[in-house]
Amino acid sequence: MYTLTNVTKTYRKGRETVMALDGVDAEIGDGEWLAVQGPTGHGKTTLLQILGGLDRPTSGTVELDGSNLGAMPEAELARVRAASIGFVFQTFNLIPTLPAAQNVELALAPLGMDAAARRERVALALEAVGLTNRARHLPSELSGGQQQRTGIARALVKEPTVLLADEPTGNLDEGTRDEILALLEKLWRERGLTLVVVTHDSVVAHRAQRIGQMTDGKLVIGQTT
Amino acid sequence: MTIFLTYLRCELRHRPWQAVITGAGLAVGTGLVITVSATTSGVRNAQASALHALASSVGADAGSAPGNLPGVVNDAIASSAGLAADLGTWVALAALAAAFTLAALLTLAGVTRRVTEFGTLKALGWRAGRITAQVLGEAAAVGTAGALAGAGLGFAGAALVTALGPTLTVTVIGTTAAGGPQDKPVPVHFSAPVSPGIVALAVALGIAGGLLAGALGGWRAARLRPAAALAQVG
Repeated sequence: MYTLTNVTKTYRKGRETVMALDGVDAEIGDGEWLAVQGPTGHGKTTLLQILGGLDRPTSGTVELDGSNLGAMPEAELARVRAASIGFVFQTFNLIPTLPAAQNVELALAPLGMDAAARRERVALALEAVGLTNRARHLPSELSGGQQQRTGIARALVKEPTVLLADEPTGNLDEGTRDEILALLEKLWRERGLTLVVVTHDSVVAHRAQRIGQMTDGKLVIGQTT
Repeated sequence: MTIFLTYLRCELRHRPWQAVITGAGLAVGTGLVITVSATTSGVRNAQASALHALASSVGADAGSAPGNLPGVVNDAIASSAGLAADLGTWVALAALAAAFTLAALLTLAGVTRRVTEFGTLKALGWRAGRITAQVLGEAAAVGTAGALAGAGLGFAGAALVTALGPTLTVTVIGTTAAGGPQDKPVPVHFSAPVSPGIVALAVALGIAGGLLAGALGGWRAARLRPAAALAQVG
């Protein structure tokens, strides 16, 4: 469970100070699906990065299951990301030189699993996203939807409790978007994930249980749908 | 270990050009060190042969040369050989320094190109040390391959110098059967012998160049803030 208390994040941009997050308070329950909408540059991605321990708040606290992510040493944060948090990116962020299976396997590297266990997990993850027959393909040999499926497999192969998705359908056509959404929803239900999706797309947002609106760094979360 | 090796193999296979250019630079640097060192040894050997021949010409037995030569002749030969050796050493060191710089710049450029990749790895929970080790490992593999290829180049270079090296002739004053003075040409064969110690040193320097480049690249990759690295996408 996430608890955000008066979280601010400021950046220096030249001589200006930009307030990316401005006093965000929120609770995101275990197994909940929250969508965050808002215009570009209003703090959605910053919020996601802070939830994922990729960045630290300037002030305020971000607690995941009672642990303050902002106060953790970097090594401990890396451990939390490795074990508990999966990321899905708009641009997929697959390593272009690695086949799909090895891209997925990268997520298991920090967990110290033996090779046989890793291979088994990777096979299951690719099966879950319907890509068993594309395991040996490079990202450049996959369609956009297949690349995003690989990204989702990579995020879920370590069996995290939290999945953070930044515009996961932003680079896909409508048909593929619906496929990816259906896949995310299925995996969310099956695995009891806490899912936070940042999106511009109202179709995507309305699949979530709650929708948060991000404007000028302030987050307002609506009622449960 | 398996992931590390798979990643390394795939990087070299699918992005070969940076590795080829870096390795070639280190190979040329390593090869030049070996070739120049062998040539320097050849110059010194030729100098010793010339001194022996000249010592004979002043009537001493060759075994006591070069002490029997006039000091000014001895000094002149020694100083010209020393000058050639020094010049060669500086050329080799400059080539090696250029190879190190090229390797470091290419590795840093590679890290810059892969910023998003390293940001993604950090998002996956890779610690800075693991990313550094990956970059360092890639550079070490390239450096080792380059240095070993450079050893081959060095042997080839030394063989070429030996093949193309002139046979010098030292003209000394001999005596005719009647006891009169007579010019006597003495050939001094030039060869560039390769010393195993220098080969080992040059290969070690080549590998060190790769490691140095990798350490710089790894240090830069490890310092990337994941949020900033990922922000460079799109």
